[in-house]
Amino acid sequence: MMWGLFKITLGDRFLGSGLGLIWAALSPLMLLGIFCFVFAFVFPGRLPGREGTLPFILWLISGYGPWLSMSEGLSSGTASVVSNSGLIKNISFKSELLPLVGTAIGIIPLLVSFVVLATIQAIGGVAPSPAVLVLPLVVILQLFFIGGLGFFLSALNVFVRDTSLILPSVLTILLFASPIFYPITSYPQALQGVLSFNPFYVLAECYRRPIISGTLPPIWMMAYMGVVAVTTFLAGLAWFRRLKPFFNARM
Amino acid sequence: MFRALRDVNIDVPKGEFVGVLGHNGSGKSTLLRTAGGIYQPDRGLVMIEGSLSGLYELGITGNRELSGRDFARRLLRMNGVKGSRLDELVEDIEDFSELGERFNDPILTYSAGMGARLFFATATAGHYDVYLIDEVLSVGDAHFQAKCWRRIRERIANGASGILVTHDWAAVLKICRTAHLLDHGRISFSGPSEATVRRYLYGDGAQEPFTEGFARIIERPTKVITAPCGEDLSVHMSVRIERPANVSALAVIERLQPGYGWETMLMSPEPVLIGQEPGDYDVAITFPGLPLEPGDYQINVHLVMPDAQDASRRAVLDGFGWLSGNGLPLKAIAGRGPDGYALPVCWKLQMLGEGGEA
Repeated sequence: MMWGLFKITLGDRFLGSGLGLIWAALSPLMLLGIFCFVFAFVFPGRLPGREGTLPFILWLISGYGPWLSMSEGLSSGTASVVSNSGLIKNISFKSELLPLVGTAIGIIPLLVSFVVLATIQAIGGVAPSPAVLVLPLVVILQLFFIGGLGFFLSALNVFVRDTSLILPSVLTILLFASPIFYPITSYPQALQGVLSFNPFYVLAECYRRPIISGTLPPIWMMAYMGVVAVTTFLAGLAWFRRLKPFFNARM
Repeated sequence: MFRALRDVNIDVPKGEFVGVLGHNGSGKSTLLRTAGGIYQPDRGLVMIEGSLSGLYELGITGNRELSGRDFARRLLRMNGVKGSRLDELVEDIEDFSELGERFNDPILTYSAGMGARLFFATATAGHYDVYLIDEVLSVGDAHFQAKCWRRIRERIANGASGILVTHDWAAVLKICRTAHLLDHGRISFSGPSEATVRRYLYGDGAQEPFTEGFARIIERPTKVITAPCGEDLSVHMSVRIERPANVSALAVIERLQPGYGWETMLMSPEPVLIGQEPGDYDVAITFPGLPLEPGDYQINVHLVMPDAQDASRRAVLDGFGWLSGNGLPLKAIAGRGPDGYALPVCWKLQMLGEGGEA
């Protein structure tokens, strides 16, 4: 069922467009291209201790790709229940699947970023470190975390439709409040402590370390993220189940 | 908190459709969706044996960019159909929906009727054990409706069961043996379909509105009439005309067969005059060579007069019929008459005698 819904959601999004499914890869590619261009050439970003454009681009994509994945998962997760009201009203199934499917849609930009990263590394003659083997675990943490938020927001969106309207702005704020386009050291000292507990940053960092420096993410990050992800997931699920009986009154 | 349904108990025997009638907002659709597992009841239990197809709302929900074919495949997949069976059913849907070339066009280019055809064809393709149907049968052109009815009957004949929720009472008579009346979330009446329909149409009184004071039927047969087919049948009654009026009689024999519906079998073409002056009249309605096949029928008789304001209309003075709950049951049995009969059938209403005093 989950896989079926995934295919349906993905297929429907691009149905009727000329390029169809190609867009699933094309839009993240374009975004990655734009930001790489802007931060590598227009406002050249600096990384402490590293020189050159290529390392910077790698660094950027290894953080921005996961971000794209998370924001995509959040947006489609949030919209998932309302946009599938027809399904909910006519087919008997576990509607909990919908936000999860939305979250899983976010995997696509992530995969695209991984492919881009691997290509750039291959061109630059860099072999990926064995540390990247930890990435599937990070992906799972991300799915639980974003899935939990998806449960929460998709159910909220049924009753407060403003949720999906305000989400893009909130995501933009979050993006700039997370050290993704610039290292955390660019922030004032006082903020760094707080920011380093921002789950979005922690997740991005968990992707970045194995890809860029070939080291495993710090244990505290994984442990912290594990707790946050599971808690968010369970709380979101409880919230969703609490509101679910009232969905049909508003759809 | 608003309670949509309360104390609703419905049994659906295997191989039968049960009707649920009710006015808008009485909870019919909620009931159906609850039965189908779309809504979770706060209390109570829904038990369904076998595979289920729910036709909760007509028309296509979901992405309207999908082609008819893709829509059909998607809905079937969600109902768990796989592999070669899927292709088989899609072919059946293409054929049944009569969309032809348009089957491969996006649904957004369909008319409402086409969408309805596609939906019905898809939701009833394959043999499900249980069908939950909301209104759906009252759409499409007459040709397609007839096809829908045929398909539903065929499914019932093959042992399928279901619930039909509607305000189309004729549909309930057509396929349901029993029916329930839903009123503000409660079942206010349960019984044979025709009784429930009567109740639905006329409320507790279950009476047709008559224009009173001119004429009434003072004596009529009350027991079931058993008549051999092909032989003459006479039904006797007494009519009292109370005020001078052109009182005529109209007679209809209807077949009301649960599961097959309500058909007019014989009907007087024009009202036949009984009399004008006050008095008691004995009337015999004769059906020469009763042209019916064996079965159960209802005789309905109504006294009418031309409407005072509008001569093209008739005022109904009195009468009996199944709609009022007092039709005259007629049991036609095999007689010595010839097999089959020829139409048109001529029959007559004859005066036997005229009562004396005014």
